[in-house]
Amino acid sequence: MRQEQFEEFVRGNLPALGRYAYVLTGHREDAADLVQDSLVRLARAWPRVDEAGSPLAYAKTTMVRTHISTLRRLGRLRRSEFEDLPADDGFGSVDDGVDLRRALRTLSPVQRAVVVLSFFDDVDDVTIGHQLRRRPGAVRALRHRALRSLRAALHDNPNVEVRR
Amino acid sequence: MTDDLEQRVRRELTGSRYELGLDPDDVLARVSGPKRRSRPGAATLATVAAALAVAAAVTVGFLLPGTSEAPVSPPAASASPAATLNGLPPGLAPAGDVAEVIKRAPALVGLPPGGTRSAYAAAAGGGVWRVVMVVDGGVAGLPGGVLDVPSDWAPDGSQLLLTRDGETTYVKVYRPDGHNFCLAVTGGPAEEQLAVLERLVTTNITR
Repeated sequence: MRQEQFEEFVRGNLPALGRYAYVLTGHREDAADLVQDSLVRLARAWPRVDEAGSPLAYAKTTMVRTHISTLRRLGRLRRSEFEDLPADDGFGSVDDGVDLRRALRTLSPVQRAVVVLSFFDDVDDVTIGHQLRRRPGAVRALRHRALRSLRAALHDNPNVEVRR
Repeated sequence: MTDDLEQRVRRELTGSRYELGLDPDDVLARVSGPKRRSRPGAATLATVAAALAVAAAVTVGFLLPGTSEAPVSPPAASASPAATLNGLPPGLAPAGDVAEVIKRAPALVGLPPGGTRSAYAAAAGGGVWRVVMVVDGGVAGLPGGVLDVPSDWAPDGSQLLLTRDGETTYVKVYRPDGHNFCLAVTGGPAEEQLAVLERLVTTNITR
């Protein structure tokens, strides 16, 4: 029965989990790996996660923590910085979107995780701190540095105008 | 005042371009859930029976280390390695001749003596092409230089030693229940080996 519930959960939430992984990593291949690794962990913890009633939240937290894991970071170093940028969706300026995507690629995994949790999940710093195992003050500092890095990366591109 | 850059980042992340389009059947086939069964649709009944028999035998060897059972016979070609060791890279299959896999160049010279051994190898190509595990082997140091082990590898309090020697990465895990595990990964880039070892240790041994 629990196996069936797990499979039902995966089938029902895979689009959201895949999207979350892609937003976190910025790489299609890394995102697919991250989904697989996170679901392997979720499968092992499934009985207690299912009883707690929050498998999606558990899966997303696992995904974030796995993504910022030191050794996964090493595995990504050999990838080209600009390969496999997510395609433009047709809204807004093409150059503008590509430049921002490239700028996001310059962030460290933990900085990108803070950005995603802040601007994609819209969760507060206490919650982010819990997910990243950091204090809220450290989360604020990480977000500040991430935004500063993005501004710097975008300013380096003469095609993009960024307002402060 | 809301920062314009923050709004742009929000629009970027919530746009439609980050759809990954994963196939649920493909993902589920790679992810071994609790008491996951082999998928009958993927093989004949005879093959499924053989795969389940091998999986049961190897699982017993893995969960009850230290038994004196000889290594299991070569598995059927379609036996899922995930049935015994979750999180293996795609393309790796259980190897029948464990000793041959260990001796293959570059030889895995750092494995401890004795113990219950299992090996997984790729038929051809691929990134990481050999994984060998020794459960409850004898006392022996690992070769090569010591690497830092992130604390989240051992949420259960296991003690870990991680080393890199030539083209091979080794990890030895001493679990609080007294059992020890040694894993060796060779054949691919060092970064990929580390990522694979992290996945194997945290999903099979320390959680």
